[in-house]
Amino acid sequence: MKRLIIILLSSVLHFGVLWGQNADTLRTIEVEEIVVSAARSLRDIGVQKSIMNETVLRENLAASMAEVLAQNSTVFIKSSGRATLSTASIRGTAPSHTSVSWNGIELGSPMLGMVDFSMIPSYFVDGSEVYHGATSVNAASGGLGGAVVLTTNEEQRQGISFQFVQSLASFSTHDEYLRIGYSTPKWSSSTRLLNSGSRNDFPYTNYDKVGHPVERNRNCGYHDQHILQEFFVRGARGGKWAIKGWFTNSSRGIPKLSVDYRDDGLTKSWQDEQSLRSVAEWRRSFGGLRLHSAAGYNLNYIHYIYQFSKGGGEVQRGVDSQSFTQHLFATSAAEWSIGNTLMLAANLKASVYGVESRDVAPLTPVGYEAARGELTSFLSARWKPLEWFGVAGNLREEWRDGSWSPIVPAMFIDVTLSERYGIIISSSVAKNYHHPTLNDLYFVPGGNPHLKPEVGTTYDLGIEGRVKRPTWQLGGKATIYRSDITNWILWAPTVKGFWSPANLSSVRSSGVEARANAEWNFGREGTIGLNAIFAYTSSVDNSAGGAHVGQQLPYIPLYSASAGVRVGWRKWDFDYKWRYYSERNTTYSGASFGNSVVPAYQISDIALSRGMELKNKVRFKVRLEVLNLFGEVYQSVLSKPMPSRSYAISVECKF
Amino acid sequence: MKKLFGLISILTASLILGGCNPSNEPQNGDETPVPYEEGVFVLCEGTYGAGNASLWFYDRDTKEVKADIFGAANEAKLGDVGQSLYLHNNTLFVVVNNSGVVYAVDATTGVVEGIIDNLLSPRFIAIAPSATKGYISQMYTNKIVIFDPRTMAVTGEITLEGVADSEQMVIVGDKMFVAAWSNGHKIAVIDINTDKQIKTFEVGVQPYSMVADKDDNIWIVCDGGNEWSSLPEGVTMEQPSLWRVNSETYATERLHTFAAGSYFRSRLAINGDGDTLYFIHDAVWAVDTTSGVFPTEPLITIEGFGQYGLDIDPFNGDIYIADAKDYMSNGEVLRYNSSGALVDTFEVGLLPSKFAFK
Repeated sequence: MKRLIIILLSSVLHFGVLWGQNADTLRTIEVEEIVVSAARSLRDIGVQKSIMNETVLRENLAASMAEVLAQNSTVFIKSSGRATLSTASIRGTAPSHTSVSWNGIELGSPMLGMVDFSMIPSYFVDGSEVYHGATSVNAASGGLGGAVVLTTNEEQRQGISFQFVQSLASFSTHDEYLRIGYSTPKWSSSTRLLNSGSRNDFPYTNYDKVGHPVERNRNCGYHDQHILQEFFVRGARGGKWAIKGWFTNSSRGIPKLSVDYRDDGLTKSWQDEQSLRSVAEWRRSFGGLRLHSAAGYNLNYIHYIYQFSKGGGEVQRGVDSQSFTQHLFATSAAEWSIGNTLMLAANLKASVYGVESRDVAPLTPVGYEAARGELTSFLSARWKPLEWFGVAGNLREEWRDGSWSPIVPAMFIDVTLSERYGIIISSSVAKNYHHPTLNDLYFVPGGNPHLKPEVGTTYDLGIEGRVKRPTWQLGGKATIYRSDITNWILWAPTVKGFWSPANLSSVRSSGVEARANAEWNFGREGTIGLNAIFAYTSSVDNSAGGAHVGQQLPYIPLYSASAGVRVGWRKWDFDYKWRYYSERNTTYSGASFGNSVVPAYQISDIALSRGMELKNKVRFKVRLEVLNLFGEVYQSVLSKPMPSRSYAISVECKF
Repeated sequence: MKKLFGLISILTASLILGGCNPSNEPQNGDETPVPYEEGVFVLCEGTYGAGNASLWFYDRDTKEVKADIFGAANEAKLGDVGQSLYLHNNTLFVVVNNSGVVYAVDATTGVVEGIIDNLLSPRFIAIAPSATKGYISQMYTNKIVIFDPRTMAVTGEITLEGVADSEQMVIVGDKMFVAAWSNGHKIAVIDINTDKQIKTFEVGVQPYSMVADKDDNIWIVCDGGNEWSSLPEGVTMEQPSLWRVNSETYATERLHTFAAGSYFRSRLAINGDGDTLYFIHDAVWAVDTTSGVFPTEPLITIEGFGQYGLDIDPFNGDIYIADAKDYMSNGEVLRYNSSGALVDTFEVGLLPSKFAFK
């Protein structure tokens, strides 16, 4: 922890020496945006959110949203490396407590509740917003920790647009990205293709095995393909139509544990996945009235296989698990701005979910089929009676399978203390419900159809500010929060020998989220950007009479931090990124002896890129990257090795 | 520009200083192996897929507990799913199922002396009386691995006929009885002189655990299977049952049938004299092997349902119960005397399940 503080302080001090210079600005670069504005929109009253803009999303072709969120937000990503299951925890909650949408389509599996962020390429997202805590109710229901809202945007330039990126990296890793667009005043089309693959067999010293042999990461190759097609049409009467379809085909090995002494040929597991996410939407404005309707369909097929050799060439599948999930939805929303001081909003959403899950392996023939219908209504009023004061209130109500949930209320307040320095105090309180997943209810064996929804009550208090001058700007935000979640669903062993979920515990999550950014333009062609994020997350069992009261939940780091420096000079850019996570317990007793603890670690990455232009029309960019610069030996998930120093080069062509 | 490069160099230097120590590498300290003279080894399974199994040692006289003795002696993890222990002479054989490995550990120092790796799904160990030959049972395959316990060299294998896999093994004289637990209902008999299968007979569904008593009878508990068992054609799920088998004639007796849906929380254990059988089935039961009469009252009444293992100290008859509690935190061992009075309790690792007594 001392090292972390020293590094952060030295970074800030060094920046302080430099920011006082004045110079004309010809070149600017975008650092990660923090929403701080004295005149921010009514929609954002009391909202605690962080935005990752396109600059951040386009840094690295090989990065999924898992890497982007880990570096640029306080969201904790639990992952065992690239192209492995990567789940998000916001403010110390469970992965299923993070609501995730892409262009309005819920990405959370109705079967498992969580989202694998490694399956979302950052190049398939143009805008990303993380709503923290109580403010997630503005975006979705069920996000007890928060919500991640991902969107794609229409290409604004007229005519043909083209972008191709080729990336090559260590361990036979390659990524190819192509985007072709065509846009007229009446319609536009955009096609994106991504092909990624790797052997991912990085070498590492295996400190978990007797004798500490040097080994390679095993059975961890992957091959992913994504296609995204979008059409946008502008109607004669001012309406805008969009149709979007995203298809994914993925085949990934499941890496072996560091303590697995078996040859690759003896046992092997992998997962194939195909998904289709499609949505059609319409928007139109009538003065201050904005209308939006959308309908979509989401299909996901996951096939997990565990296979072993019985000798003599005979191969058998020990697990052959297949799951189909479907989600059909339709939604309509209206937003009415009355002058600059009042905004009313309402929306209605109907959804149907279906799951068919089965294991067809001869040893464990289990499975279930289930469906669920939902209707969600949402009302919101936002009022700014004074220049320095805004207040907003939400009501959300849901119907599920024949019964109404209690109304979900939320309230938000903004108080502007200084317009000059953008100092705003914001606060919110909300109640939220998260319903059991279909696996929780119906999985065989163990599903519990009598589960109650998890209930969260969240309080936020934040302060933010910004100083902006012609050549430099400085911004920051800090939030304290507390969240009490009751009826927390845990899978626990039963007397029957299998595990079953129950509303077992209560959890109190509290902490601090802080972030700062700065930008300084020097000379006529230079820019320095700096950003830093820090989170203190106390997420402890609070069950009355429970055995673990006061203990941190497994895998939630008490401290996490990240920082980034970007230096731009003429056509050159240099990036330095750093991430830190404190020690994590993997059980409720992890600290009592070593082998259930994931030690603290910090990772540094650097990148150097050079842009070029051909006839002011075609732009090229070459980027060299060194990941895990200092060769940190670490694990993020117990017994799952992570790569040491590795290298990547990418070339981009764009017009 | 000077200031720019000053910033970069100072920042980079500070980060190098902070980043060049791979802090997660094991730090060598005073690692002199600690001797484990007389006491009880406790194997904790750990969580499946997490690689956090552990081996503990309990001094039965001083009641001192030593944590993770494998890690301390070998600077390595034990592995994923600690399955079983077998103490022979001064060598402790540790079977780690989902790591596919069997360690031969010096039972005094905890140091690994030999390894058999690349095993599909090792479950249990049996050592022939000659001490020159050992057997490793395996799930998912009908092959039993034969090895030399002195060198840990694999010397052969037995391919079982008529059964799909092998679980617990019990050697009586020249015969080894092998339970085919997973989706099975048979016991295979091996002649350990020839390593040939000489007999197969049926008992209840899914013979889960076996021990031999002082009269060379084989006691078998069958869990009866469950709704998702993929049982052979013609075999259906049934109530759990306790069997006694004559090891000479192979005559079988179903001595007790348990309530439908009931669950065995421990395997069978037998005392040092071989005349009392113990197991956990809602409570700790003790069965006289001579009469074979199932008692009307349990020996020890227990609370909760985390009890995950039971064994009997052959040196003094003490009963050791492994309590896995909620499976998400460290477990506890409860030590009772042979009359059922609590002697001691101590904390161990995640999911304790097996014991070995020295």
